[in-house]
Amino acid sequence: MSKLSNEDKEHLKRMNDTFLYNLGYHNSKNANDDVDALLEEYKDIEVPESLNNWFFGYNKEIVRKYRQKKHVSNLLKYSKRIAAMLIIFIIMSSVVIMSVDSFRIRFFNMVVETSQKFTLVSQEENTANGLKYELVSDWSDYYYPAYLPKDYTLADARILNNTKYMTFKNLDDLEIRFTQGGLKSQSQIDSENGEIIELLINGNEGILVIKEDISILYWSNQEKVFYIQGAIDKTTIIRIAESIEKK
Amino acid sequence: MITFLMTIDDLKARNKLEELYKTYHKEMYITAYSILRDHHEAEDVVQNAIIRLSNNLKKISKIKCKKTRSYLVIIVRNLSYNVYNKRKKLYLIEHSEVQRLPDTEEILMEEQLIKASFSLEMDQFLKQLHQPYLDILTLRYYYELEIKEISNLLDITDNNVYVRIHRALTALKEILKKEGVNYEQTL
Repeated sequence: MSKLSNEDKEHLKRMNDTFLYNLGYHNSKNANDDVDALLEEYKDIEVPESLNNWFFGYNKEIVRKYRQKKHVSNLLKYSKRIAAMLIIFIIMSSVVIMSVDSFRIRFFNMVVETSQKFTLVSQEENTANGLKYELVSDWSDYYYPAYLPKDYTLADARILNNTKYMTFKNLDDLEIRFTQGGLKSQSQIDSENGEIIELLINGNEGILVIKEDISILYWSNQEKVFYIQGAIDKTTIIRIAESIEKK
Repeated sequence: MITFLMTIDDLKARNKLEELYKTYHKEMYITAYSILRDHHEAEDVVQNAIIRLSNNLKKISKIKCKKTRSYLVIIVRNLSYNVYNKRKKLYLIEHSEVQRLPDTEEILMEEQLIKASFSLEMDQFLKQLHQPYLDILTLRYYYELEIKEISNLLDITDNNVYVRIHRALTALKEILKKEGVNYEQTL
């Protein structure tokens, strides 16, 4: 018995396949001849109506199932595409926002604005949940300026998280805001493009920022941190600050 | 647009099965009846064949052709054999005998034998080979179906398909030998 090479085996395999294909072809041909003979032999036999009815019912059912399956697969297919497109859009938007200065600034401004709006809403909600608007007369342990510029009167006063806020207004509706909080409280002063002056208020260190028409004064004593802001000049704001008295 | 395309797909699938049934329902029914001689059983077999075909419609490219016609006849014929054998409590292949044969372990007939076979009348082989063996070889090598497809269509296990093919090839080899074709080599 000789050993066949791979090529010989391949050749033999193909010869086999050809032979078997030929065999199948003849068998298929015979099947057709057989069925022709059977049709002739059983020409009087009709296919039962029940079989036809079954078929049309079955066909309807498989079409319904097919449609259902197709619908689900299409949904999956399109949802995947939409998700992929969304991811691409987010990535592209992120790249554009981060790479173009003007877009980046606009985007962050939008975020900051949104954040401010949210804070505003939050305060309103807190108000509804029990934040009290109180008159200064009901307060205790607070500072009040003995001096105020002409025509300025207390227009609003409130307490939020142990920080007291007072707003004084004049006849022109110009405001001076006076805030006093605990020593641990923190404030951020917008000093960009402003003149910054370090000074002493009643012997305590403070910072005065003058930016366009607005003056902002920030200082503290041994008890509290103070913050005054208003469209007033340097002398006036210092005078107000120095005039505060504990009530 | 998507719905429209889906409808077209549905219609194609529906039309194909419908057209197959309308064209060949009589052939299918008569084939089953000729073996079983019972209208109810013949009806059951045709229903079974339709169910199995509906899962394998992609294999049928053209409906009105002899190749498709004989394909349906062969499937119905073999499903009818199953019912007939069950009725007679006969099993073509006993489960205890079934041994898994890998695809590569096909019996290859010798080149000399094959060459000789082309010179002989093919009908001589066809007449001598058991019809289910002929049909399974036809489905495998003429219609080029996978083992899984054949087992699904004929309602038998994959193992049964392997064993039937193996036995069919062995039987075919014996027939060729009997017809006087000599060979020297075996793989």
